[in-house]
Amino acid sequence: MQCPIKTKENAEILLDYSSGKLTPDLSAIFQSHMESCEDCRAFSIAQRSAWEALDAWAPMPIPADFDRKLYARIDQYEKSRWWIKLWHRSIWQSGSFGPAMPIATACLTLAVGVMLWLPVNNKPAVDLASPQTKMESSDLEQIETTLEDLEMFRQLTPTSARS
Amino acid sequence: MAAFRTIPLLALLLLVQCLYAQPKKSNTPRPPRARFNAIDKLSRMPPAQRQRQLEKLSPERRAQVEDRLEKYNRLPQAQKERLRAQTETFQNLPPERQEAVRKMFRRFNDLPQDRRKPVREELRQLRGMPEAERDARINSEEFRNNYSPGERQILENLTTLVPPN
Repeated sequence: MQCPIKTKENAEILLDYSSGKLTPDLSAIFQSHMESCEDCRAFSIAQRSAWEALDAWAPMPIPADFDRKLYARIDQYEKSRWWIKLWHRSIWQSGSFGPAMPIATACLTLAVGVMLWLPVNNKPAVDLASPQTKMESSDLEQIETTLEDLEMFRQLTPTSARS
Repeated sequence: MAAFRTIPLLALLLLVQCLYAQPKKSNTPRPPRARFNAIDKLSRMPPAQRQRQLEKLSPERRAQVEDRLEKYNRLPQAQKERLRAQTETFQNLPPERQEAVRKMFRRFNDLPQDRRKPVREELRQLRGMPEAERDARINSEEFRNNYSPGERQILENLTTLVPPN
């Protein structure tokens, strides 16, 4: 028999033997091969250990109300608002959106931050011509002051300079 | 992928920092030109609309604004422009100096009606004089005899603090 490890052919023989699915004839041939093949023997021992470990593993007992709790959670998720679902998908399954969602959130937040950061003086001028627009008290005070200054210069300007 | 989850958190922290760091909205004075634009717009408004804009003021202050606006609007265009230029120059002075001048002008306005006219005429003459001539006039006996100490203070301060024509 040609070594399945060295030739990389009939590799399934290795797995089938380890899981006990190999026919008795093939098992006998493989066993005789293993006596002279160190690699196959080591592989077989490792596989057997893995199978024995799996056989020895006992699953944790499932609580009696596991199903009820699971379906309740699913039902709660289904009834939740769209943005909560979106948040959960973004947080727990970020692969579903890729990096788009966090980057979009970051950009939006930064944009709001920059808008708030802009100096107050950069706000557009108040359109006083609009009937809906109301002047701020500070604007009114500045208009009052300017009118007072104009009145002062009107009175202080000599008649000759005025004509 | 975990790094991407931290981006929104960092951005939120930045936003909070921005909100805290932003200077409080202050009553930053508008530049003089913007104030004149506001006055022009106020002048062009129909009376009812102007009333709405000025309703935050007390009735006395509202009446004074309307009176001064009307006086200003009645002036010839050339005089308006000259006054605007003078006022703009004045409003670029240090705020303390502006306030000192306004205070003096209010004291002048508080003078009895019959005293305002001679004081105003004296002011106009003083402002038109060269500095040496003005000093001589202020130190003259006639000047001391014509005006009370309060009036002399108004005249001297307004003459020296207000920029020349």
